[in-house]
Amino acid sequence: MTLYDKIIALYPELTTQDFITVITLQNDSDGKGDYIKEWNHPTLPRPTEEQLA
Amino acid sequence: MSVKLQAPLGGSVELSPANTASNYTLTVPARTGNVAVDGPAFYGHLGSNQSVTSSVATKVQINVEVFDTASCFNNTGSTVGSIPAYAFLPNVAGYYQVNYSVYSLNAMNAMSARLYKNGSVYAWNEAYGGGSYSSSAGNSILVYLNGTTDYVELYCAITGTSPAFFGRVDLTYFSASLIRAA
Repeated sequence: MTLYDKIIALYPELTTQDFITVITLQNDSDGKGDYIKEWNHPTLPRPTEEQLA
Repeated sequence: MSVKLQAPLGGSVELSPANTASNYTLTVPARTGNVAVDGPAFYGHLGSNQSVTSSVATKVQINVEVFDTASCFNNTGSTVGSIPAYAFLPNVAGYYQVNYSVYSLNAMNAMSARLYKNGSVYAWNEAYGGGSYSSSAGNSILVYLNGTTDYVELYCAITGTSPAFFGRVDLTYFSASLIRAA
C-alpha cells in the first residue's frame, strides 16, 4: 500500500484537490520513498508515523 | 590590437577582436548595465519512462544531458559537488530562462509540473485528462539564481492509474540558460 493509499484509507474524505492545495506528498528520487512534505489541512490532523506504519 | 580596461582592484578586462580580415561593427547600446557573456546553459531530458506513485510530487530524473555548457547540471541521482541530484546550480549570478515539460505516459486524471527553487515550489502548471487522456504540463519562466547556492529542480505529480513520466527527448525535458547577468 502506498503512502497515498494509507492516507486515503485513514481519511477517505480527502479529495484530489486536497492533494493540490493543502497536502503535498513528495518523492525526491533518492531511494528514500514517498513522504509528507506539507500537511496544511484545516481540519484533519497530520497522520502519525504509527498510523502510517 | 586589443583594449585593456584596468579594474580598481588591480585586475583588468581586455577587449580583443577575433582574428579576421573582414570588418565588423559591435554596437553598444546607449544604456547602463551588465553584459551577459557565455553564461551557463543546459538541456536535458528523461531517458526512459519513470513510474511514480499517484498524487506524489516526484522529482523527474532528468538523466540525459543534451548539452551542459558550464557543467552546472547534475544528471545523476546523487549530489555532485554542491549540485543536488537532477538539479541545475549555475555558477554565474543572474536571471535564467527556465523551460520544462513533463508528459504523462498513460491516461491520467490530473497532473502538475512543478519547478522547485532551493527545495520549494517556484512555479506550478497543471493539465487534466479526465482519466481518459494523457497530456503534458510545463512552463517557461524567469528565475533569479545567485550563482553560488541557488538551484532549480523539476518535480511532477500525476493522479491516475499506473502514473509514469514519458521518457523521451521531445516530451519530458528541462532546460535553462542565462539571459541577463546580475
